[in-house]
Amino acid sequence: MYVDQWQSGPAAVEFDFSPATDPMAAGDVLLLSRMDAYLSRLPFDDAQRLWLRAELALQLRQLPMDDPAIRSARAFATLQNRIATLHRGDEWEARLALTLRPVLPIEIEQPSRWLRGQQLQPERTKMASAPMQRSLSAFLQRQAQSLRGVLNRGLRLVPFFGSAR
Amino acid sequence: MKHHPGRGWEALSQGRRRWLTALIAIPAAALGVLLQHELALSQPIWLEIFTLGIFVLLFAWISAGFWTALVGFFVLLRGRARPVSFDPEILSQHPRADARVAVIMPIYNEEVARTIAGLQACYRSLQRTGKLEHFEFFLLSDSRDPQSWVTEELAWASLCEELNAFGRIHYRRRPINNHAKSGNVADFCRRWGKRYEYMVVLDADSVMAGDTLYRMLEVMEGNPQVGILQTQPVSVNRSTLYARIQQFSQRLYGPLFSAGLRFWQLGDGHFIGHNAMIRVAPFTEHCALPILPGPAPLGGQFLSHDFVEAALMARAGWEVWFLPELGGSWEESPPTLIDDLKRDRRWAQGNMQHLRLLAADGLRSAHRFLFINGAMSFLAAPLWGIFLVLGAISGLLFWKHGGSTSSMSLFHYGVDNPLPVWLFAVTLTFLLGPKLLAVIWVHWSRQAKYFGGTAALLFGVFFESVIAIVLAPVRMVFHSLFVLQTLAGRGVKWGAQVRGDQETPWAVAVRNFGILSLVGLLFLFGAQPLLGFWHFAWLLPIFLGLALSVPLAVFTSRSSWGLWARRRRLFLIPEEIQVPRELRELSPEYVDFLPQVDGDAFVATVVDPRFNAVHAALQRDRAGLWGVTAALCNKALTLGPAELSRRERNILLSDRQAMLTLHRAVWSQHEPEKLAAWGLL
Repeated sequence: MYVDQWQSGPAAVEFDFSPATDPMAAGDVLLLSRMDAYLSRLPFDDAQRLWLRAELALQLRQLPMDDPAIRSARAFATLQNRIATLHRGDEWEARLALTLRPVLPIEIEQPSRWLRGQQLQPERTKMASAPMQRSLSAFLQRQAQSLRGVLNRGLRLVPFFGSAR
Repeated sequence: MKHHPGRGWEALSQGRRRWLTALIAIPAAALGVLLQHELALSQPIWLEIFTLGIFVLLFAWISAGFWTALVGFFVLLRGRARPVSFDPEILSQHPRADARVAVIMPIYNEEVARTIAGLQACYRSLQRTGKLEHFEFFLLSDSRDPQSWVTEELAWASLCEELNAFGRIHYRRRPINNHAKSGNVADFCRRWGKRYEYMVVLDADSVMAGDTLYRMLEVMEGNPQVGILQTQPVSVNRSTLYARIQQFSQRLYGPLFSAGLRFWQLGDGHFIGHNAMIRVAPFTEHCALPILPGPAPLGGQFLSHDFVEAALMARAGWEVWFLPELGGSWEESPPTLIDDLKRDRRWAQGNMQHLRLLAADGLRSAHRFLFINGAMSFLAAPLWGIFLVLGAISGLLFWKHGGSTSSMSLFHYGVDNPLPVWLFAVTLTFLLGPKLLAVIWVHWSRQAKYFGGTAALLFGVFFESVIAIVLAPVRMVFHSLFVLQTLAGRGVKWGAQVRGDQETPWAVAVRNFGILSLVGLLFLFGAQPLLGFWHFAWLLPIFLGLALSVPLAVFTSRSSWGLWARRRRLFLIPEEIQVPRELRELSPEYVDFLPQVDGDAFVATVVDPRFNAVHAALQRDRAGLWGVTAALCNKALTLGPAELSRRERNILLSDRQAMLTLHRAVWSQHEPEKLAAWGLL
């Protein structure tokens, strides 16, 4: 039978299944331990975890024994369904709320929207390169012009050239 | 073009640069004339012209470094007690309450824990200053690897949770990472640039102190004409012998060169792409990078964007200041010789591209000089190589014309003709002088204890110089190859950089340097009869460097050797004696809150209910792709995640519904082999 660790005390840390006495199949050992692994990855409190496990066990007892695919899919669907009830019927939002619980403001209804809201919305600006004249001849002309200017200024300081102008 | 009143530094800087030009040109020309007298007697005219031309170019280049260090030495001796009226530091003012700064960290497939640790260290440091309200942080991911993408995303969420910083630290991943890092920064400017007056660009291995960031904000606020403020990041945190030597030399000699650079540049400073504060509006308006005409590697996108951005900022009339004395700015250097050369390969291509902007209109002469100087860092290698070949030709001609070992054509060593010895001595002074000046400065300013004490400092300088001399020919060969590859049209792309201390295995060293070692050994054992004793002795350091390249690459990459040196106080730097808090916070225990993503991060994001929930929340519904994602979900479920390509994983990861669907479907499976493929058995 399926013995929950909270029901049997801290010593019983693993599920105990006895197919001979319990309607659950041996394959359910793996299924339940997988579901347990799933639950262990989310920070439920003890009461939530216990309730989810009980719901899962109950569901498994109601499922046909001969189709492991159905049992597996329905078990997980049940688990998701019950997790969803923890947060306004949305399983994904429930997982997110549990994950962000330490920082999520209490009044937030949609954690996903809140998380996206923490990302800044773009305010578009244009950034485009300006045209650039890279011609070597134009550059040399500019340098020559500037050199001419320097020379002219220098020549003006010389009395003869300065007076000639 | 924007012109601000009160650019009093311009006339001063022009005068200083004329002095620098004279100091570079006159000794180079004088030594050229002296060498010409020597060569004219013994060399054919073509050999004489080539040898002279290359000698003058190379000497001019090393003398630029020497004069910069010498000026820096005197600037440091004089101290900053007498600031000039236009120094931006003295015009700083208390920031307005609404002054906003975005601290952006562009990343590309980086080691996430280290990246987050750096960002967190900056954040906490700012928090301690009590000035956090001016700053927001952006982790700008260009990662293409789905493993990196989801790890970054989960780490960001954990960091925000740890610091309670949702809304203050943002994460954005670009689906298309065109134009690499510069495109990443430009994308930030386009999306959010309007919201911030300033941005601080950090590399993935950068750390900056809160005090420094706030001080930069004050300087920016008091100087509305300044477009970029560049700090001098200090290399820290490495443990391989190679990186520790680099850290030591940069920390010891760097302040002289930095002070000298600041003296020449003033408001026409440089920008190295990170650890700098930028005024966003002019950057957005003027610093979008042009695409060079023609095919890569010399055409197309710029591989090195920083120098160009500084030049464009200055072209638009904004000032670019280098503030080396600010402190509180750190980075990490490449851990091994191979990683250093890989970085040089990219820089070589980038710097060669810059030469195509030399004739661009409106650029300031200081930035044209920076372009030339940057390119010369790599062009010097082939020039030196050609110089050595010309020397060998000269030697061969000498032997052909019946020379003897007692009198040598190009290399007359002895009292008869002391000129070559003088040329050698002057060159050596220009090369090693800055090292000596740095030691004098450190001793004079009583900082020797921060380098392990005077004895350790002197030993460190000696060993660093020996290693630098021995590695010089290896760099020469590789830099020459890089230049030739670039000119031949073989380009490289930006890739993820190695940030951790990874040792170089022998096989990798042999693959990269085996031929060099072989050539070095051949010369070492076979060249002496051909060259004669003196010529051989002259070239011995080069042959030795080549021959030892394989063991040098291996041994200098070892952390154990670096830590051994550290225990003996060799190559210590002040940051290792008094470790700043920001650097202490880079250790792994400060990021132990990060989620442990073991194995395949894509699988973890599908399987783990928390990771899946967070990741899905950050994606959107890509309804247009649902046909594709449905097929990919089916493939993932039937064949397993290992069969998905990187592109297919990226498509699935980018669609919220696909990720939620996969999560449900994977957990609903029952077949053991399929469950095992997702790590659920």
